[in-house]
Amino acid sequence: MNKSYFSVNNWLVDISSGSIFHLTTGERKRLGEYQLKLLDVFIQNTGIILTREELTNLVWERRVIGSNSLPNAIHALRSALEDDGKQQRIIKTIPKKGYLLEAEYCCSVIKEENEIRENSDTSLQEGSLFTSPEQQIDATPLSEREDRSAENSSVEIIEGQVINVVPASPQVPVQHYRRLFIALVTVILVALTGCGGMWYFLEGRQNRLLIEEQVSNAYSNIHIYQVSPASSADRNTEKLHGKLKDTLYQLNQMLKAQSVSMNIYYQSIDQTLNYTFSLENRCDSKQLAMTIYHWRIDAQQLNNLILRETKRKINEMAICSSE
Amino acid sequence: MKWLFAPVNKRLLGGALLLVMLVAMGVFLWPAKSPLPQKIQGNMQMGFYDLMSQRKEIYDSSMKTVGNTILTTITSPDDSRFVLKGKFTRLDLDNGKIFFSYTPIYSSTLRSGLMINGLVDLLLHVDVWMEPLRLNDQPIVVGQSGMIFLYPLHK
Repeated sequence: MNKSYFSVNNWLVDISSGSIFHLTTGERKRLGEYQLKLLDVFIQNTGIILTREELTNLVWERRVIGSNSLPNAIHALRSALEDDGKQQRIIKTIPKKGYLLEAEYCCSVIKEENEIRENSDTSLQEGSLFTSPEQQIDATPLSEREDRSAENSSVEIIEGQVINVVPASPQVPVQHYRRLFIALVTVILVALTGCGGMWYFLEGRQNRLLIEEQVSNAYSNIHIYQVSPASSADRNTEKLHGKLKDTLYQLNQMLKAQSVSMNIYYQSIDQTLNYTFSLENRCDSKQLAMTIYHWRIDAQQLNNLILRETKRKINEMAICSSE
Repeated sequence: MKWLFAPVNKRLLGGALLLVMLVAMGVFLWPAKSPLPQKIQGNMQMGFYDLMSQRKEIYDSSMKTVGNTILTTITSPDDSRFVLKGKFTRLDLDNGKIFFSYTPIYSSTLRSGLMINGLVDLLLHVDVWMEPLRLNDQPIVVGQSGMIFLYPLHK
């Protein structure tokens, strides 16, 4: 069954088990009888200044107590709620007036009663095994500690488990905002990383060179491949084999007769043609890397040059024995 | 001291997983960076031609890998005095391009006005790149000047 609890600085106050339970870490601290009562009184009067007399009357009722009992109990409660006497973020000392529980650290939490109880039972059992009086979080002087121990107000640290929080009051928990903030930052970081990675990835692809065969099956012994940057592969409509059609036909006849295959790789950069061809037969291979400047100015000269140089290299090829 | 189990934030975990996936994608789907062959040794012929001035220069080049550098010797079949020795030291890899710095080791007195001087001047002043490619198991290297040559080198 769902039950409404109060939490102070993310510490859920479980009156029935006499302990406080951290909503994020699941840590559980057992409070002394009067500390718990003091906390209860503070919660019921959140944001209201309570005088020392009022607090003494409400917490200790008609008991006779020492003059340090209230300050010691306040101190222990501050320690338990991760506050301290210097900062006084949560429990404030109002000079000459009394004490005040700061409302901004308080909120109500709806939680399954059984879940809290289960956690309480298991963790208290565990806690009894691990906790010793030396592990008390109180760091006050010995005299004060003795005073408090007389009042049975020791604070024990006990392990617990994490629970989910459902904000129930108009005061949205700070924790909820923190989680939202972390999630938002994570999403933004992931999106930025994704976009950056994708941009870098695509940019890298654009700068790469591609090799593409130009005319397949047009010549029996010649394959022509164009090298071009990936970014401009589709924009380059120039076909070198069109300009060299007659030469390539003539060379193909020659290569066929001599059982030599030829691969041509070319890349045109402005007025310069990089034209490399490789010749291969059963027993030899040759290549010539040609750099032809101003190759566009005269197609006939270009044809003559390529025909002449290819013939020269074909003639250098070793003649394979007929076995 | 007893260690506490930190609460697992599902969103954070999801974000971290997505980040890991993106990094993995970057690593595995990146354009293949085929390295230059580890051992390069061979000869090839290269020619510079200018249709405008109707000039032609043919050079024989031999290359050999020594550690992280490629030693090159360029000679001319038309001029027995012409020798150009240098080394290419591998620098780094960027977008599939391997960058090299060229250091001349020896050069005979070069005649001015040669087309190869343009290439030498480029090599001396710029860290040039070479991009290894592969076509049907045939390794191909394209230089920054656009020159294409095939491995293994054959004259």
